[in-house]
Amino acid sequence: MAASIKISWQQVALTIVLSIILMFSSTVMLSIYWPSAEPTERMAAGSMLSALLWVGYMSMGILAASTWRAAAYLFSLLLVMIGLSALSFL
Amino acid sequence: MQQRSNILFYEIHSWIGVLFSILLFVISFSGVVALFGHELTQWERPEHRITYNAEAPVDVDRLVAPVLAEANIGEDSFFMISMPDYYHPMLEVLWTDAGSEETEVRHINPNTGEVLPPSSSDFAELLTYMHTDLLLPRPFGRYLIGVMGLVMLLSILSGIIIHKKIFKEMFRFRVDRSRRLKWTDLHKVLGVWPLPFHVVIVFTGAILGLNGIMIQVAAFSAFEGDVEAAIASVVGEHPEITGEPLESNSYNQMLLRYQDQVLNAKPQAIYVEAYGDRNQVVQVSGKTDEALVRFVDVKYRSEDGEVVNINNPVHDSGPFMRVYFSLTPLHYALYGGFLIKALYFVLGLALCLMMVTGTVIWQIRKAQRQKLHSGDINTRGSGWFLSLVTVGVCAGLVVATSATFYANKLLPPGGGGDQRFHWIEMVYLSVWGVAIAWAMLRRQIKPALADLSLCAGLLLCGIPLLNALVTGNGLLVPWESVTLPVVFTDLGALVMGIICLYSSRYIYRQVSQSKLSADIPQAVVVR
Repeated sequence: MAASIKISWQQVALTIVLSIILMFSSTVMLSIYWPSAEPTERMAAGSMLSALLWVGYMSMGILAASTWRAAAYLFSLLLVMIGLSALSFL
Repeated sequence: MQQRSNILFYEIHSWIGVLFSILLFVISFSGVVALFGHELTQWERPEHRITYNAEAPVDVDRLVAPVLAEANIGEDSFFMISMPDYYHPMLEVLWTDAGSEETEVRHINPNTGEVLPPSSSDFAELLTYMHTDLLLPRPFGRYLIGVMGLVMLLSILSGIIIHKKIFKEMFRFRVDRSRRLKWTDLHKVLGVWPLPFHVVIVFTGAILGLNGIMIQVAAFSAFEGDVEAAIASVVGEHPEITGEPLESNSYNQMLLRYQDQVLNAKPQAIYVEAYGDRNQVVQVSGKTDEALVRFVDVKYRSEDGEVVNINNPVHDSGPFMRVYFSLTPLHYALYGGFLIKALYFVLGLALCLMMVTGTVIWQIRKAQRQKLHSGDINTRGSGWFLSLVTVGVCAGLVVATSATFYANKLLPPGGGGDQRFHWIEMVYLSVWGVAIAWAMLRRQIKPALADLSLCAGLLLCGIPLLNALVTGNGLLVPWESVTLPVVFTDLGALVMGIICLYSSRYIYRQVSQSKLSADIPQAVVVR
């Protein structure tokens, strides 16, 4: 582990902010689309699974090769989630 | 590519440790103390130390009658009765006064019917509040705790990824190698053996911390924006107040009905909605022994005894709701009895120690990079200030927690509960502040750690004596009637005190030996 890799602070900041927004978006999306007829079950699934997903979003952003790529991956996911969630309210 | 990921995960793991290990230690250590909230409540209330008889019948109607005759409870006031149990052997009546809107509590001895003078649980509440909210305003402290849980989860994941030979490392402890390797091995052993415990405690803590905000977001979307419907789906509909008085009311009857209806369940609490109204609803909450999620709530209409709502998560919920309801029992070891609590205590201390060892490794590595004397962090090189802060905050927290026991027993009862709570809080924070300042003024890491360990050891060892002198009860007065939670608290303090005293002696010896063997060039480096 002697080698060191520099990642920009912009990439770290962007990842933290977007991963938190994504966590809430996943809560909304999972609470709507989780395959259960019981709303309380969907609610519990959404609130618990999104916390685990946050770890994945953070890893995705930090491991991305550049700030632009991190932004592209995370924004794409965010758009998909917001789009799917908005569909159910229409 | 894979090597790049590994390096990045290593950096994530290191930076989380450097930036948050002190805060995570505070949360974890206060959690280890908060595990024993029930025991501490009985320790701080000497008048509540009566032997609990699980078989003895409790005549709730007769016991609460004198309290209710004087209470000013409105139809929309909160009102509940807690049944006696092993940790709280008193019947507790709690309500919101209809006039002042203040919360009132009365404790009744179930054996004699005597209404006891008001007694607080400031001390146990403070130590629990420190863990759940870091003494910050609600709900922000709790959200911070939740976020720290997420950060810790990321740290655990990155730790697993960077340690490829994780199972081999479980059995590797190279005591004859360099100081950095010894600390690294200790860090890995402390991290790998209790890994399932760490994952459970961190995940449940993160969810419980963020629950307030996450569940609202989830409820909003799952119930298509109708948050009221979400609440009603869990707790049932709130009864409509008619304004007509209820003719007869018996809590005993509701308890009997509950025991007939929910087999193997023991009633724990009674919640009353629309008190005194013709539509009054009584909810009986009880616990069963058949699962981790053990509570079963049944709501009865007082007028005719009809069942209004049943909330039985063991039988009626899906897998995620069951997991959701099991978060609190899993996090606070509210299952399996005292042995599970003892196991949580040991594993919780391992978690605290793991955070400290992680910081030490980082500091030794930093010192080695700057070519300080054999990676000695006891010098004024890089990491020296952070080490002193770590010692001051972490060891100081143990001293402050121990001092709070004395504040609880020696401070006068005071007029209001809040006032006494703030006094105890002030003692807690002041002692902690003094301990941090002492570590800073000492300017040497090991002597500062030894001083604070000695202080914590002396305070902890004195707790059984303090209890015996002030209450005439406890571990040192075995001929008196003593309850087990009080004995466990005294004994636990004594054992922890002896460990602190031993650690302090060991560190003092190390310091004096290193002074004897120090040669002139090293002394130059130290300056």
